[in-house]
Amino acid sequence: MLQSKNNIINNRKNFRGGEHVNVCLLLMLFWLVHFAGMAQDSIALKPNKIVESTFSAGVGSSNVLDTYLSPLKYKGTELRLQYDRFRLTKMMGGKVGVQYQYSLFASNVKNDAKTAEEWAGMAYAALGYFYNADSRDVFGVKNLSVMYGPQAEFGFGGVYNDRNSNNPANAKVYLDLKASTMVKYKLEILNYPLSLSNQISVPLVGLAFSPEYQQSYYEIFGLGYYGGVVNPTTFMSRPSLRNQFSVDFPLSNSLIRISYLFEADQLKVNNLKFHSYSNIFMIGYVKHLFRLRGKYKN
Amino acid sequence: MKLKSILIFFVCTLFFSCVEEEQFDNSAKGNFEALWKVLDEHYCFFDYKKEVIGLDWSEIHDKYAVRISNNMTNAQLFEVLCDMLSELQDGHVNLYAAHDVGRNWSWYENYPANFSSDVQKKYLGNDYMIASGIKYKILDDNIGYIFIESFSDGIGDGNLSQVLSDLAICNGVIVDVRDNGGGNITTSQKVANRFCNEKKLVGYICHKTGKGHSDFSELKPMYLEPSDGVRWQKKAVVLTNRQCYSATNSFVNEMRYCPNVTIVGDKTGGGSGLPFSSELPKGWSIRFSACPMFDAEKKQIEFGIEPDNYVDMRSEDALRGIDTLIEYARNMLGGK
Repeated sequence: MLQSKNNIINNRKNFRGGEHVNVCLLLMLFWLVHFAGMAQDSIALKPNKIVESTFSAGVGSSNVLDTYLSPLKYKGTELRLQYDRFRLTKMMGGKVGVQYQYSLFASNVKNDAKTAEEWAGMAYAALGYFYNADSRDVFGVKNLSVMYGPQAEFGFGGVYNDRNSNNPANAKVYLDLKASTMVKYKLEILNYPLSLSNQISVPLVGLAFSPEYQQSYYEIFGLGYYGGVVNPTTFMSRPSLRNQFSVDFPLSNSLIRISYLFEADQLKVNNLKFHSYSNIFMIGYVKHLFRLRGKYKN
Repeated sequence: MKLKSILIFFVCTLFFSCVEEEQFDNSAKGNFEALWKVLDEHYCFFDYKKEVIGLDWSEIHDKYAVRISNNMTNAQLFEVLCDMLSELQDGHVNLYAAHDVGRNWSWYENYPANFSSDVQKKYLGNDYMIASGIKYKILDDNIGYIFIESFSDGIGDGNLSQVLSDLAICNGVIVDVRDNGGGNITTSQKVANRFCNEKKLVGYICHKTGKGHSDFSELKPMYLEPSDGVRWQKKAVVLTNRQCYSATNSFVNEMRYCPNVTIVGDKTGGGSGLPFSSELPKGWSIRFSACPMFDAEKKQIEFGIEPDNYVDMRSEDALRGIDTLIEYARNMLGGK
């Protein structure tokens, strides 16, 4: 059984002014490389009891290139739903947190001449473990939390082109082992508490489905010739990046999250090239939940 | 140290590289170069056509590049691009614009039709049956006649079992695929599977693995698998003409490996490359042969398949409402 708890508002007295310069420099570095991210309320959470869950929805732009379908870039609009769940565990003295992330998104994009359309859709589930490397001693900054760790992500979806003949669509299935980092900083402006957060994830190794350069799906599924469609990937063949920058703020009795998400999903295998660049603005609702049942019950 | 590692991680992401493809501008020259490159990297018959018709794609570039000017109209550009594509002599190569479709139909336009729908109507009459696009009836000499005008329609196993059951009393069957320009290869295989009793090697397929003209995967065999439904056990004749193209070309190839089947008529039109699509900056769509298919002897069938018995429609027969090919087949099957 879970009960909600809002603890950011109650933690206003913990925020201190000053010492923001170092943090701003750090955040500027993130922005320079298009970092945006999300972070979790790691400082205030009590180990293994409090769960932070966030449901967000967003809209933005999408740029899709899939050379199996077309050499041209398609541009349009993307809709995205995302659910995050984060809690600290008892591992390593409560310094390890676990994050579950699920996302579903779809885009409708057109070529520059507006003579053809593509529909792209993906869903993924990610599980990550994050070590809480408290940075306050190094940067001399209070209320700053830095976490990093491995993340496993499984995704599937595809891109459909509305006028191609025997190459009308290309399926996307992947399993990535990623490196991920979260940074969160709490501050107060005119006694109004804000929580800035940033999460960056980069695939390091994995597996990805891709037909060979000009292999038809008839050969794969009609004749059963699957050889070469499952490809090992590294950060060289899959130079992808997901950044999410978020601001949490209280509104009435709720905690709201607004985010900017930049995702570059890229793949370069079998002499085929794929990219999907997304710039999404999201709004979400954050809930803090208390775990009262199960093996974590005290 | 931990934070240094994290900062190093951040800095490493600065070297994040974009996966991009060369983009051409939307000028006449840009579209010309884009079209030439799409085919250069994707068309699958360059080596074969260099050997058979002396095609040199680099020479083709130089030959047509001089006709391109950024001042030309869309119609003029379209005409030059279509002229360039016609050098490939491939019915699967088409350029689609809002105002026209560029095509090369010389594979049948330069040959006798060997088919007349007006004459065929005299055989079908008004009492023929239709099963998911298949027209069929029993001719008055107890020969079954099946006309498949396209493999684009989904033909179900139930349809085929019903058709063959209805014709089971016949002495033989004529499968007429004249003027059938193709459709789904899976549908054509489904029909051919009704004429074999054992798994049969009928051809090979491969695909390009890279941009080079000779970058191909190994040949993968293609088989006919006998259907679990009703299968034809008597004699059969397949009627062909030059308009038998693409999936119908594959169908004829498959049928010639079946027992009791004779191919009668004209050479098929060919079209053994499974077509893919791409596009130009102008938004025009291009279709081209992408995955070549071969017969069971690993020989090309891009330029058609010879019939077992060459038979042309005689004009005097046509004037009298007689289909020379159907009559020839009826004689072969013992109907007359």
